[in-house]
Amino acid sequence: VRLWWEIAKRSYARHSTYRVAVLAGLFTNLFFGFVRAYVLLEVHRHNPDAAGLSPREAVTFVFATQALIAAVGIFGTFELAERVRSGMVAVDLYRPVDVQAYEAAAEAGRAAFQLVARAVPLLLVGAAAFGVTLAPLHLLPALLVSLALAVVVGFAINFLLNLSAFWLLDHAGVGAVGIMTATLLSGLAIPLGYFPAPLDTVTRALPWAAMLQLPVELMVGTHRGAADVALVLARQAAWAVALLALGRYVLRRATRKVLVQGG
Amino acid sequence: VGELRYGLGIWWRLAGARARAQLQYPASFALLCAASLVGPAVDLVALRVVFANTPALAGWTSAEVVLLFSLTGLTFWTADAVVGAVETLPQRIKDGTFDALLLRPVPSLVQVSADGIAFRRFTRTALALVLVPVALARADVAWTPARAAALVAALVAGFALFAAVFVTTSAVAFWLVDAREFGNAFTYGGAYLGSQPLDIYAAWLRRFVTYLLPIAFAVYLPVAYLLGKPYAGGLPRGAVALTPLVALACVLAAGAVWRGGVRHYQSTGS
Repeated sequence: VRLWWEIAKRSYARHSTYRVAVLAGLFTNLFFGFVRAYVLLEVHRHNPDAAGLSPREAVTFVFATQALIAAVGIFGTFELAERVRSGMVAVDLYRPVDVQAYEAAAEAGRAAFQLVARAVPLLLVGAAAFGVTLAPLHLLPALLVSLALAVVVGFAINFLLNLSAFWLLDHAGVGAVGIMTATLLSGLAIPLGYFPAPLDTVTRALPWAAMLQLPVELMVGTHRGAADVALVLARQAAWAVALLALGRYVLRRATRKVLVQGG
Repeated sequence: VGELRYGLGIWWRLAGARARAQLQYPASFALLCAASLVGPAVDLVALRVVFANTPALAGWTSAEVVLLFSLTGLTFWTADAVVGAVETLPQRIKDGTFDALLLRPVPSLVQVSADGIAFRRFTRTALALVLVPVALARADVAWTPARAAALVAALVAGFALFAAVFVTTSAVAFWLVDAREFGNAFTYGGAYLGSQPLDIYAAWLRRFVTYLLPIAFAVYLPVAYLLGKPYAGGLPRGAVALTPLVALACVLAAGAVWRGGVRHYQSTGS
């Protein structure tokens, strides 16, 4: 555990080095936050309680999704896929370290940094510009657990996308489809509650909802009762475990293939 | 003009070489072409979802917003396909390959944009070429010569304006090499913003995209004119006539920023 902690810490430090990049990302998140907020506000002018949200909750939803994009890794990273392509992955597999756990630890450090650097300022600007509504403070521990699970689910999905490189070598196609699928089905493009029934329920049941939609619902305060909150966390946890297990299985298959390829 | 023709000729040759290279793996190329269409598809679905909740956005019906979206798409996606590869500039500056481009007697902008060109992105242009006529038919336009001219202006000026935005925001890398994501706000963010009726935005944001980053002129003004709709923010009816001038000014400005950047460029050194 000590090892993973150290890896996560170094990953945090690595990502905090690029200050200008963080500011540039923040600016882009803000820009999209404003545009999306105005679109939803216009929808709510005609249909005040669309998606069961008040206008203010809708704006909070938009800024919260923008605040978390980077932390949960909607746009993914394809470093592992690049190493598969270049063959460097052989070195990763050769080390006496579990590849999935190593990547997860590095991702945890990255996510923690993005949460601190992006989530807080984005929510503050959203609050200053439009006013936001947040869940009551006693739900904060549940929210933190939910965010951690969202990061794990995001990591697990991204890990699977990266592993596809073992078979396809080029990750561009899978990456593009993966990112756009996540954009739509995580509630980033538009909160899933706006989908006409039964698509709202269907999309909420898919794994991508665990990356943004579910934690943001908690953040906005859609779920108040203990049972309700527990159900959300259980859903996220189930996806996290299932996708991590799938990742392990696929990694084992992939590793066998590398050995074959290496002759 | 001779220089421009020379530049375009080189661009054509470099792009042709890239095309042959990318077609070496036809199956992979076909997959990537299909993957390029997922983004626009997601945008269209999101638009449908918006209109599942409201009959109109600021007085624009679904068919009218789809027309705005598909014309923005046609111009933006084509600009992305043709010059979008300038976004690789920060990487080239970091790894030093930009130096090599400066040694060749060809404009560096031509080399950067042609060398990284991804032909799969033209599938989006093809998609937009299907969407635009359908949207025009559904949007019920009362055609006049002036309105037809506005459509042509939107096509040419939209392409030029978005291309200028790509070049300008990428050229920022000459001064700030890590600020790549900053450009995304204006390129992808600008196209997203411009594919909604501008009437929905607060006055400050509308002024910003009218006077500072004049995306409003690219597609919104011509389409509003085409549909006989009032402009957001009460601009005079004739403002649409400025579209070609604004686009030309943006292209010249982008060229100046690029040249200024190249002059400022000092290589990575070691």
